[in-house]
Amino acid sequence: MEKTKVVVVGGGLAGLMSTLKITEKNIPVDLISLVPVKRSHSVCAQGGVNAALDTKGQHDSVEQHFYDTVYGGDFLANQTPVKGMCDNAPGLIYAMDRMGVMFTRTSEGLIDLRRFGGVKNNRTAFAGATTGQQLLYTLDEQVRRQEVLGMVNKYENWEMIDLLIDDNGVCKGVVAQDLATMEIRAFVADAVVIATGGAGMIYGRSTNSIINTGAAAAILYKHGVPFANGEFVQIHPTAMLGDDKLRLMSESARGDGARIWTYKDGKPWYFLEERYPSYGNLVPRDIAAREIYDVCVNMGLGIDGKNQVYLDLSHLPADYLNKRLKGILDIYQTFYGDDPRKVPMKIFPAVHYFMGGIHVDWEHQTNIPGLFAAGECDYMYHGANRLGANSLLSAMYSGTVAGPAVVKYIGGLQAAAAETIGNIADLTVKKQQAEHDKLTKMTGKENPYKLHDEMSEIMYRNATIVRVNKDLEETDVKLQEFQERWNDINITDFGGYSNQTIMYVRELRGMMDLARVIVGGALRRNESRGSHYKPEFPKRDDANFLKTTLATYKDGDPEFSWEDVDIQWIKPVERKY
Amino acid sequence: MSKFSFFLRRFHSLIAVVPLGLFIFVHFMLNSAIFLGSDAYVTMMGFMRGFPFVQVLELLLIAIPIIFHGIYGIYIVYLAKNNVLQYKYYRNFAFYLQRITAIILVAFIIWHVYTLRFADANLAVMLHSPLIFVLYVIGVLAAIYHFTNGLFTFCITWGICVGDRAQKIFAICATLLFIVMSLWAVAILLSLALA
Amino acid sequence: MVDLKSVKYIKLRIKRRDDPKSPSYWQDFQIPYRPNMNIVSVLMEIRKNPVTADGQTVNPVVWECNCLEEVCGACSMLINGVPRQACAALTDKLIEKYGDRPIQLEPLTKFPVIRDLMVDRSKMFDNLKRVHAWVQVDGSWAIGRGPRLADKDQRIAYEIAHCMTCGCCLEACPNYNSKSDFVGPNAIAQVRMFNLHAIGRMQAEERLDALVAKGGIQDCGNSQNCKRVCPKHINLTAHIAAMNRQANAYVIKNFLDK
Repeated sequence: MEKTKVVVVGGGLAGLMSTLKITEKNIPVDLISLVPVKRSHSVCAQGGVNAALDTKGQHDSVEQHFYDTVYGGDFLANQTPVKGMCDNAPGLIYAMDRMGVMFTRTSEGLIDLRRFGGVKNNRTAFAGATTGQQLLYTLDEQVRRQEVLGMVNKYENWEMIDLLIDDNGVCKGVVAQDLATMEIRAFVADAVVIATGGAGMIYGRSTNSIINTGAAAAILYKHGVPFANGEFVQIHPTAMLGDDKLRLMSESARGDGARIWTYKDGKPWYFLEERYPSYGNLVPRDIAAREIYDVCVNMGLGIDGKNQVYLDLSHLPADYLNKRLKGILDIYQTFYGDDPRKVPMKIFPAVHYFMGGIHVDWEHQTNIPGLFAAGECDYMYHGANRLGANSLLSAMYSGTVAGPAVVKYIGGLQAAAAETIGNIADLTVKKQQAEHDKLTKMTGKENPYKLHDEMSEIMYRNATIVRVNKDLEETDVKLQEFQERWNDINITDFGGYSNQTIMYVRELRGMMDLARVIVGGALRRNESRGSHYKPEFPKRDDANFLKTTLATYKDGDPEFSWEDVDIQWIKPVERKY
Repeated sequence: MSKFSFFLRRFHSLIAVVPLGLFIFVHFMLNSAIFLGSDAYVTMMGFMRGFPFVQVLELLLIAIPIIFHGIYGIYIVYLAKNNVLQYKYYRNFAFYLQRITAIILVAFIIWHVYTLRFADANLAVMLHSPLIFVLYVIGVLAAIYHFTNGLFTFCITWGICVGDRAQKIFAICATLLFIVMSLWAVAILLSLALA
Repeated sequence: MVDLKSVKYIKLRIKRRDDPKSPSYWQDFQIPYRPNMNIVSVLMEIRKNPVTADGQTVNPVVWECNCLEEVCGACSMLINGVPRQACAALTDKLIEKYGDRPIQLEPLTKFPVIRDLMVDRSKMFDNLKRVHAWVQVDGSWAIGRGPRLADKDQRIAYEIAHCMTCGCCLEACPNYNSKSDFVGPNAIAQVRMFNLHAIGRMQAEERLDALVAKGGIQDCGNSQNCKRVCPKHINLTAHIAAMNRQANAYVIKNFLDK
């Protein structure tokens, strides 16, 4: 048997963790990433990572973590995988600690823990307010070591543009393009892990990075992999307002004592504390976002009459803030000018995270054998709403599941992909080369960037905090128009080297496909659950909708079906905070 | 040997302070005899010339270190791609000036040693020429700057001062030393010229 | 100071290059003034309408960016001659500081240009390999609690851990250039971080060996530009000084022990 090899697409936490787990079993990995892996979007995560380390004398437990996560997700997450994640979280954090993550420390040198939303214990390990950056860098270092050992070949600034699927429907690698030379080539592999993150760019401005288009997930979707729970898009309650990006102001600010307020009758009104006396400012994100929306849009009480409220930590001592939150305070000061140590920050909710994603089994394999997905691009751990600081956990944990699952899968293979691939690789490369050549000759009327703006505007308006069926129907019609107009794009960049517009246009097509999945799923889910809120159907409806939405690509449109949720551990109850 | 360039660079730094830095002080002290009058100065010079093993000491403690420091120093100057116009920061100017003064000193020291040690010229007489006086002031100030700024970077190179506050205090001390030594040197040159 | 109310256009002068082998050239652009923009959002405006100031339709400008909040390190470029992150370069502040003249954008000069403002910084990642910038654990599996770390050591290391390998320090360093293979301030600082970690410390000597090899810490000439331009305000010169102390002690000890 020829030497086995795995392709991992995406170099964020999930991709790097998968890579590490696979290379530790002596299987070499080709790591394909749009950007140098150290610049992946995981770098933007701020507040921390949950693990019931129970070092604060609060009798915290993995069971409580499990319960909080399932309850916070409004019972839509499959419980067994969530249980696995929570059970393994402490061991994972300690392993990361050994690898050198500079977690913030207590006076006796232990990992400090802060409180986060939807939780009553201190359960969030953190490295100031740059936890994602620190975790990512540590895995980046470990993978760099594997690179030196010859176990990893990095293809940075490469984009996956297609899958290699053989006649038996088995995944045998990917086709990718070098974003500098524009070379298109096949990467034959015995298994492929997709770890390409969320798709916030569908909404244009979000807390996400530029690369989070969901284009890779869209490629899988078009190959027949269902996209699950697409309608569940987390709106983070506290983001800065911005022209180009809505920069995240971490939930950890509230975990460390920040308060949200606006003026009512000329006096500060701490509306979250008043409405949710038990959790106060630390209600889960879906609730906080809806309340801020309510106060600003329905009651018209936004600061200066605009859609914004205060996130205030000016009452806290500056050295305390600098130790724990400097990362975000610097961002606010750099981009807004005011010093949040002295004056309250102005914030408003923004698109933040995709709970939904590529449908996988509990070992993170898709319905295509040999094709795995991990991290934000999968749908596994967060149900209808993700608790803060569970995303870094699920990103890493899913890598620790997908990696060994890949190893197990390869162990059961009869022959290496390189021997059995036949001419599939050549044919797929030729097909993609032809597609690419067609893109280079697009001379229509539409500017792709403006078309994207139009799409994200309507998505923001109709598919975020409040969803109304009539608007969703109208949006779906609009999206189909955009898909039509996509064909009339003008490529604008006719350079043959490092042509970013070609890549962008290709991604835009994927974004449109996924946008229809989001809108279609939202339209059909006639209930309110977690981040999905319909005033027409304000109650959760377990009888009809305690189900995972599956969108499958069929002749250009999404076809929807539903799948039961695993609820064997915790009986669904009403979610109240 | 992989550590060779590290050794060279550290050696280059070390000999600049001991013996060369010490020598500058001794040199200044001896020349200060001029403050007691030209007779005292001539006596002192005579005493120094007659010191036992003076040539061996000169060779080992002064000539060889200076030649090594100079030659390796020119290589260091060559390595840098200066950018003071783009990065107008104080330390960057100091970095640049250290290299400018290095070049000046190579020329000045060759001239200084040739005229006084080998051609046996009389410095007091030479300094009557305003041009030579100015060149001497430039040369000596360059030497003092190169020494005092070098002393500061020496403290960083050897890991003596690490933090911001320590670096700031050492930088201030180096500047004060530069001022004191400059006044001292100009006083010596003036006294010599007027003697 | 310029009154922003009187500003009608945000003007840019961009150094462009079509591919690594072509010569570079300059182009001027202008977009209608809007408040609260930054260089990335201005470049995004240009690609929506890639027309130069004199009305010529051209290929849109290529540059690298990702997070837009100064944590990913992608969008380093020279903005009016200063290396910095384009996303954090606010146009209002630039106009206030430099006046109404075009904002000049150039690719970093210490790295090979790929296209326009995009450069290849892979050498920085190679330098991290040179200094063994990782903690050599037995494996990533869970085997219980990690080592304790004093708060004061964490604070030093955490500052260093912010380095996003953006390249600004190398761009400004006079000793990092084609004539030397200086490993650079960022890599030296990284060694300090790993040598502070209880497990990382076990390989401290490997890293110090790398730091005293050719192109190592001795090539620092103390211009201290690195610290001035670091967008994360990492006190690189202090970290270099601390590593000087470690490197000297190591070399002397090594000599005396053998």
